[in-house]
Amino acid sequence: MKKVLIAAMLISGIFLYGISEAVPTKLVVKAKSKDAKFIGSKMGGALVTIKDSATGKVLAKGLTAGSTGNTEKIMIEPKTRFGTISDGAAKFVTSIDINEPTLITIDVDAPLVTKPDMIRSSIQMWVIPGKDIKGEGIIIEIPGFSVVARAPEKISMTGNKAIIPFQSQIVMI
Amino acid sequence: MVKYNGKIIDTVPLSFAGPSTFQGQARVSKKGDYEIIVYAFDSQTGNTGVGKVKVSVN
Repeated sequence: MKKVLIAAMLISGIFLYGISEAVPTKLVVKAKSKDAKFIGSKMGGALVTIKDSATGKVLAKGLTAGSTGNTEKIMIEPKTRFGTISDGAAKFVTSIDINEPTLITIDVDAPLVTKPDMIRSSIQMWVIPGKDIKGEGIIIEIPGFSVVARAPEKISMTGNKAIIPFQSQIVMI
Repeated sequence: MVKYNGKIIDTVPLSFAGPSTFQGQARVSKKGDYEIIVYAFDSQTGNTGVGKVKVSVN
């Protein structure tokens, strides 16, 4: 009887330890411009914020860094179900400490180089302690173009009319 | 688009002026503060972007 009690205490102890201990869980997040490549260092990176959806607590925050990825794989080759398109592309790698299945919200803000153009894409997903999401990782798409408009601050009328010249730089985000 | 006194008063097409660069001109006849709103839209993907700049005409 004593042995059974000790065994039961040990098992429950292990179980309790297992569920109460925060487990580092690795996440890889990549930001991809819609109809274009990955957002990396050239565009100032994409700002990734990972929050606990229930509490709003920020679990991790950082920038994607690296290249825009392989043009052939992203833009030309047809994508297959388990095929990868993001080998070598910019990413944000982090590890969050969670002790139970946690619903997270991932916000991605980009591009950082032209702040007025910044767009936020958000997703929610469940993460299980110790179940890393790496490799292709979590790819979040940012739609839109970066448009920067320029014009002289002041124009003088000539007679009863004026011509405002303007120019714009338009690129994929 | 040309905005004046809170209203869009004109729409002007832009012409290609070099890699990723487009230009245009707005003709106006009143003094005041204008806003030039440039948008890009791709009907195939839905990709859209907007840039704004303020101009004072005196």
